[in-house]
Amino acid sequence: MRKGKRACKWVRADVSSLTEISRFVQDWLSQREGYRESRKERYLVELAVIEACTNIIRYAYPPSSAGQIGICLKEEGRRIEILLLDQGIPFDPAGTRPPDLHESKEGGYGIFLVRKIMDSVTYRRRGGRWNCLRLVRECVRGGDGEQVGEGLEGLRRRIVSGEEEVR
Amino acid sequence: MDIQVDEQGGVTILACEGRMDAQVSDLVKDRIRELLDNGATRLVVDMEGLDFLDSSGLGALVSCLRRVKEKKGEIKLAGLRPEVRSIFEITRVSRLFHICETVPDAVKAFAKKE
Repeated sequence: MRKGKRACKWVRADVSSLTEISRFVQDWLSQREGYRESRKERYLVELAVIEACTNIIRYAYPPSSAGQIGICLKEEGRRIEILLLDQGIPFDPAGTRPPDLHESKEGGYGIFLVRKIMDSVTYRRRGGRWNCLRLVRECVRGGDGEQVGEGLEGLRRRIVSGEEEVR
Repeated sequence: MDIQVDEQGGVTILACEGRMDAQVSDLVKDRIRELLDNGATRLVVDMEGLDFLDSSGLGALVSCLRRVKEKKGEIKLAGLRPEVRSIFEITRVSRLFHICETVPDAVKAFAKKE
């Protein structure tokens, strides 16, 4: 892995790759200003990437296929951008319905969490075979005890208080 | 992920360490199902050693809670790190579980219900 602002990695689209993906994302984030000081911020981005990759592993490729996932991490100023690439079945998360949080569902939280954590989630189909999922997180920066932006805690407070409409 | 099982005063304690994600969510369900089949109905999941939890792990816990409730039992959660706890709250799964600060708190809470 490069120690610079960009890093890319290809992994097998299999649940056994999830730990490797997490380590890759954590290592890169631990070199980024704002994230290196905050375990919570690193955790959130790791969670968003793992949720998106798990979705690709489960639904994009047939079981036991030799599919791959490309993970590209990029820092531009105070924002981080994550690009996930695969050649599986097209899937646009914008078309998914959020879970009904009033029901005790066992699943359906993955894409919901990705959208809540990241500031922007966009999907493009390129070249007729590439699925490109772009996740952007703007400048929520600060240490564990001194969060500059709203962060997860603020979001949690607004959801619990009912101020935040669950999309 | 590593799961150590212990018992304190009729309460079964599962100490989870490592990652609870799609790779191990079925193992968690199987382990708890096995305990239920052996008669355990009062369970505490000790999450202090859990480094990572995603929606697959969350779903596994909800699934286990359903099974335990079918047997008139309960699962309490203890030792959640702040970031892990936030996921429960964002998804509102927190309202399904009794979440305690520590394992002794959870064991005491079971004792109070007797």
